[in-house]
Amino acid sequence: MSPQPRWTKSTLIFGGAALWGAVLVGCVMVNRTMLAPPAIPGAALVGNKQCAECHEEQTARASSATHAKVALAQDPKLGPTSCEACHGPGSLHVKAGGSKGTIINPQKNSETCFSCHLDKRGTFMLSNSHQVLNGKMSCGDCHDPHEGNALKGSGASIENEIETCTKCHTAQKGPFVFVHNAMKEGCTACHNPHGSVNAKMLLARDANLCLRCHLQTTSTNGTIFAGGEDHRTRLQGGTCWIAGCHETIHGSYSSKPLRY
Amino acid sequence: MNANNSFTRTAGLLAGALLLLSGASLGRAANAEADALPTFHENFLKVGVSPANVSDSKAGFMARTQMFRKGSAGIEEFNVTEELDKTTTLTVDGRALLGAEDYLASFKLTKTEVGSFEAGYKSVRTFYDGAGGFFPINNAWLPLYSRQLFVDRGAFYVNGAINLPKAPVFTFSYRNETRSGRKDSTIWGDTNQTGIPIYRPTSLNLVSASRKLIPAYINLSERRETWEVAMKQTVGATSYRFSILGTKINNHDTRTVDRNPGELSPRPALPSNPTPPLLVSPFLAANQTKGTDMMGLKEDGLTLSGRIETKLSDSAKVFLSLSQHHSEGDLAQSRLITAYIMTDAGLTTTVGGYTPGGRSPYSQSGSGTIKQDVFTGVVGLEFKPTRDLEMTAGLKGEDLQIEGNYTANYVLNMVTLTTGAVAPQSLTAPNSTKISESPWVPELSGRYTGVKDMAFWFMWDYSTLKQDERNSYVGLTTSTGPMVLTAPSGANARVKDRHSNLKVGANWTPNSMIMVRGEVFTKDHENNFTGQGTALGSYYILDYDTYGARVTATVKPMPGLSFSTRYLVQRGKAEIAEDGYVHTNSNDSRRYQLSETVDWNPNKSVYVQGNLCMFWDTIGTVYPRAGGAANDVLHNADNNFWNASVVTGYVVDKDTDAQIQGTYYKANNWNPSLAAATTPYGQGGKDYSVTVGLKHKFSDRLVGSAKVGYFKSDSETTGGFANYKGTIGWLTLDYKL
Repeated sequence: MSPQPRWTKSTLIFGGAALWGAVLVGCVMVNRTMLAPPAIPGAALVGNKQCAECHEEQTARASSATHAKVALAQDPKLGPTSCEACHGPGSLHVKAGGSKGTIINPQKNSETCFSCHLDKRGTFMLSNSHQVLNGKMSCGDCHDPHEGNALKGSGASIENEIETCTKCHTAQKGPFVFVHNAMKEGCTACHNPHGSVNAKMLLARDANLCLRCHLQTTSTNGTIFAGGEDHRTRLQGGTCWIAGCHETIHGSYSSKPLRY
Repeated sequence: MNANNSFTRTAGLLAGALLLLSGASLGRAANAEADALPTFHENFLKVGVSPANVSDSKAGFMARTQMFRKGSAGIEEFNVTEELDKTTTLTVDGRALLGAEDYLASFKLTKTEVGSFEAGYKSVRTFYDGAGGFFPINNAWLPLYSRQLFVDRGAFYVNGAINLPKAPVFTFSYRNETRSGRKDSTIWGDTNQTGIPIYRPTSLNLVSASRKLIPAYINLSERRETWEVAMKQTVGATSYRFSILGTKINNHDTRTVDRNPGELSPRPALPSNPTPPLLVSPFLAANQTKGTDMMGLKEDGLTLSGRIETKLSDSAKVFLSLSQHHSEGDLAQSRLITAYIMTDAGLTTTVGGYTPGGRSPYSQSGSGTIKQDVFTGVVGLEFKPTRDLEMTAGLKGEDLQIEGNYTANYVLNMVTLTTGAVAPQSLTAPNSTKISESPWVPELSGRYTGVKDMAFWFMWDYSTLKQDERNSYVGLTTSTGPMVLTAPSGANARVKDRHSNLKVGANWTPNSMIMVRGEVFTKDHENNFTGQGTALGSYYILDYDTYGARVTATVKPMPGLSFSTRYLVQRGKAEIAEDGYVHTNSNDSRRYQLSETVDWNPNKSVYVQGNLCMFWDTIGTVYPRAGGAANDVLHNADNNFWNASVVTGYVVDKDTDAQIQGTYYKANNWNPSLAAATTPYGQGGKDYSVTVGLKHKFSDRLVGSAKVGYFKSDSETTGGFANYKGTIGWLTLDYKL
């Protein structure tokens, strides 16, 4: 009878530690640094002035940027609003005359943004999200970190917030003969552009999405009033924008109740 | 007990030794990267093949992973950068991935102190699964057919710049962006194939058997062309930028919705009050309809804009931006619904078919025009009153005018059940709108850094809007005979909005090991409508508030180890005041998010990164206070999930790196018990993936990588019909040209 190997807690701990130790000792024989991407092994910080010499376009109005108001963890000697907080240390980039691959470009790899916006990595991992993680889009397609409010079109910007979305989603842009006034609240009133568990990145997949603004309360028990009518039995079939009901939810040419 | 203590002590010693070893080895990381694997950014060709072997729902796999079910192959990246002379550089980039249908071809010519010119085309594909609703009572899953769904987004572009020394910079650009293909819709058609019994007399039907579960599709054909010419110059302390932007939109999108497929109400009609009660087949419960809804827009727009910015002093700068936009569009729409109606004379199939007293088919086609004028101005000041205080103030004013009209030609065919006669009917419904809107938005933001290791900041804007909306609407209504138009309703709504948004935050960075950032935010929005309803002076006021706080912290207890944490708590509340109804709280939403990232470099040859995101999100409106049967129809909307990922990379030998990655996702919002009275929508399911890869340097000019991954996904919301599992391999060769 041959002894059977047993996977005990101690076996796993000590075996794993031995393996890990072998990796630690063995790997240091090679002079190469492994860092979680994006990273620039071997580079050092140079400071904002160096960046401005070549990238005047990006730095000219950077002081007005949302990100300039936010202290970012960097070398205190270089100040808290360094370009290098997002683009990584720039010494190799400067030494190479600005060549590609020697500096982090968040436009190509949003991991830089996720280092502070941790939650966005989680939402972009959802199946209903913009394709940022696979590189088909980047955070910079909708946000401008170099000037003004990173949320394009917010506040007193010359453009409107909704334009951030409708430059690609032109069918939802309008103008419409009968517009859904929620459009003035912005697309984010109903969608989470970073991702949602719900189809089409909706904040909610059911009638709660609409009732937040359209609920009417009466003294009658067991009713769900909206638009002057009890919708309870209709909601048994499905939710508000389902077939035959309020299909043209962004706006309509022909139906004021946004039916078609 | 002793054994446990001994085990804990030994494990602790081991952990301590490993950390010491980590720190010691990381200390040597500052040396030059003599053995760094080459990475190519110029003059290289990267080819790859990624075969996939997927079982179960291939559509589910493609929608979730955005990879083609059989994988892809081709050129992943290609670059040629050539210096034609001392001042001229030519760059060519390309990509061609078959299967993924991801393409890029571009070239750029740059001449120092002269300018640049580039042109290119790119296209990416997005996959959709076409999933409709799953109904748990009878495990109903009713895909109409398994056609592959995808949308291709393409762009042809030309950019140029003339950048001569001591002269204005001129730029011009042209983009032709298209979006075409077929995608699924969240609008689903009806069916009675739900396993819920249908009886005659109808009084025995405590709940309707009809649910909207049938998937629907949208054919997209969208084109947006833009061209822009711009000039900018800096003279002394003043900079100018002027631009002319032209846009041309041509959209033609069509949604196809099938309702009650396979169903047909019989003739003679089922008895309304049989004895004993009759159990009705769902195939006899309703009439099938097939609908196509098209919306089209052709719009030409022109925007003139300019910005002047001047430095008043080293600590003050003023700017003025103006923009004038005009667009005119042609509207086209049709909604053609083919109804299948059984009569005593046989089956009739007709667009816009209906029976007297029955539901309107709402079939129509029509056209119209719309024009929009927007004039916007922003004036602002950036100033630094003290060394530690920076302020920005801005004021935006806008005047928006929209005028549109659309004439709907209703297509109606009244079917007489006893004879099968079809009586065509044509009704014309003119609609129009005229909107005048004038928002004002003051904005103020500031940053104070006068406290050691701290920064305080705030951003505030307050939008007030007055809108006058006059529209005339003619709809369709039912009667016992032919359909009739409603009398024109001429609403004259006056809208007043007040939106206040405020963020206040502080950052604390006492040393390079700790950074903490916190902020509180509020959105206080009130939208006030009068004249919106049928009664003159009727009012509707929506008071919508969101408030919350967000904290982000990064702690680096030792070189090579950092913890980043972000926590958000957010509440949303809404109140509605409307004439004829009780003043009500219409929204109570709560969101809590906790995210954590741990980065660990135990030594210079190993990294480990772990990420965790946990979301609790619920939106409550009428539940549970609606009471009675309403509580069976609608619960709060839960949108909770958590996901995690781990990635580790390490040096295998002088020429080889390895990487292992894993992801996990879980959502638990699926509540099948809701099916008794409605359609359950909550998302439930889990998926995970594991990939293991190697990257190897064959020579200084050739690097290859190989990776294999296993994916598995289970979806409760689709009843398992969108589940998939499979393996994918990746092989790439990166060659320096």
